[in-house]
Amino acid sequence: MSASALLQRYARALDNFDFQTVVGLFAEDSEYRVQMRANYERNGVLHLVRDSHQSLRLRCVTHPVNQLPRSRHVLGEVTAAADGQSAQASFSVERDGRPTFVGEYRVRLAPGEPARFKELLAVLDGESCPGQIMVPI
Amino acid sequence: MKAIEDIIRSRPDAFTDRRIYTDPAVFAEEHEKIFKRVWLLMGHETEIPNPGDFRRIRVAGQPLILVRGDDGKARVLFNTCRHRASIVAVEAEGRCKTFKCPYHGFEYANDGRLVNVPVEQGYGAWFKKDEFGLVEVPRVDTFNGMIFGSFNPDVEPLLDYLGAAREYMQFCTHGDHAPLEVVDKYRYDIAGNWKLLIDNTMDGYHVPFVHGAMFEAFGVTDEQFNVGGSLRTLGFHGAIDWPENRPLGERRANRYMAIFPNITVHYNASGDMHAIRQIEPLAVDRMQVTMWLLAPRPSERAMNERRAQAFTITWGPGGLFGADDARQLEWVQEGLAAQCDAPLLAARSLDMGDVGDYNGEQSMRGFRKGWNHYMGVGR
Repeated sequence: MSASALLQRYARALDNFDFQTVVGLFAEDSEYRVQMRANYERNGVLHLVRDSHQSLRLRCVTHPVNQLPRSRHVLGEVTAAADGQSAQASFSVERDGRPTFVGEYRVRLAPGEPARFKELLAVLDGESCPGQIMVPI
Repeated sequence: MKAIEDIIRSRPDAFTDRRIYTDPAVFAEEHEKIFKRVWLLMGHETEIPNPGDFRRIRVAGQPLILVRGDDGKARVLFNTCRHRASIVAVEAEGRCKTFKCPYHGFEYANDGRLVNVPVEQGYGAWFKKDEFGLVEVPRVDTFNGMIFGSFNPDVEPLLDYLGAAREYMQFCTHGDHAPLEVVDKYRYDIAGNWKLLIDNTMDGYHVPFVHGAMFEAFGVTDEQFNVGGSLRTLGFHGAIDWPENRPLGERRANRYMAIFPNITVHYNASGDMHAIRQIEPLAVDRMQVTMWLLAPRPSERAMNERRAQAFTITWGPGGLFGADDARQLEWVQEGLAAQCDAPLLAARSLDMGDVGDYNGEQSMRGFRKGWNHYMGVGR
């Protein structure tokens, strides 16, 4: 599976509240991160989310699905590196029909099959994070 | 036995009219009666260590520049040109000798003096540049690197304002052996009134409920969770210590403080982690939170990475606990829309004086006393 297909699957699983699938798209030694663009650009240490695979699993199973807002992810064109192991794509996330997060995914894939994320970093635009990140965005 | 109405009337710190969280008129009044009269956090000295360093900030709705002049003095200037009001510091941060207005080129030194006016002779002989500098916030003072400012020229001295909270502040804003420096920061929004986050920070009672699912996932039992500690009022400010009471100076307990009106200061024993949170009211039902991570200086990247990881997993909009709190506060704001004449309670351990147990509501009452004092409630 390509990075593009993996990202599409990730977004679709989130929109379907299918968090088991989301967790399964990450390798055991993976990292899921969310960072504001200002922190990212100054190589700051602070993240909004910095989850190991275990923390990500915890994040995905803790919250009752019926208390979560309905999300809708829109992915821009996925640009992959020549070796196919890393890629980036613009995204926006609506929650309950309201635009909430806008930014860019930067992903690295783990070696081998099946294709899984080694790292997924969501860099958020804006000077302030506009909502809670209960589950991955 | 006193009728409930009498108790409610006699303790305006413990029973709160819910409209103070929802009424736009109260929100506007808070800016006049509280935010224009008290000391407010403007930033940290280590954010502007060198002459010319500046940061564009917004405090109590005011566009400001936190800047260190070439004379080495930290100032807070209103970020508005004396000509046609445009902001003059456009970038979020940087280092400069002068701020040049993008509209007509009025140019101000980094101490606020107006130093250049294009085609100055057009104004005539009456125009004196030294009368048209950037306006300074009238009072600025520091405490352990934290830069405070006040829009009130007659505000009491900062140390008097901190009053009973000084000792706690000394502990929370200074490392064990070295002063603190800012490591990193970020901002996030919550769709709730600004006072709700102060209340939430000074509240141990909510923890097993709002964060119960997370504790369960971590395998924390009810017994393990039944922590000790205390809540206390420190004048209009407040503090919470847990999981046990320790003498100030010992770094084995967590201590969080609320400095009236809109700052919380945090020390987490785990990871020797310091943080400051400033809550900017954006609207009656919306706040913006700035959170700073601090560390004893000089701090090392590897150690700061570890501190940041502990910080991230706990606090903020994506923290395993911070996200729970933020969502809960939004649910509170939604509930507050109910137009029923039912005061909110901050009345636990009402008879315990200024210090209560971890489930008490002393610190909330301290904050409410401050709010009532400045807003003229109960006079």
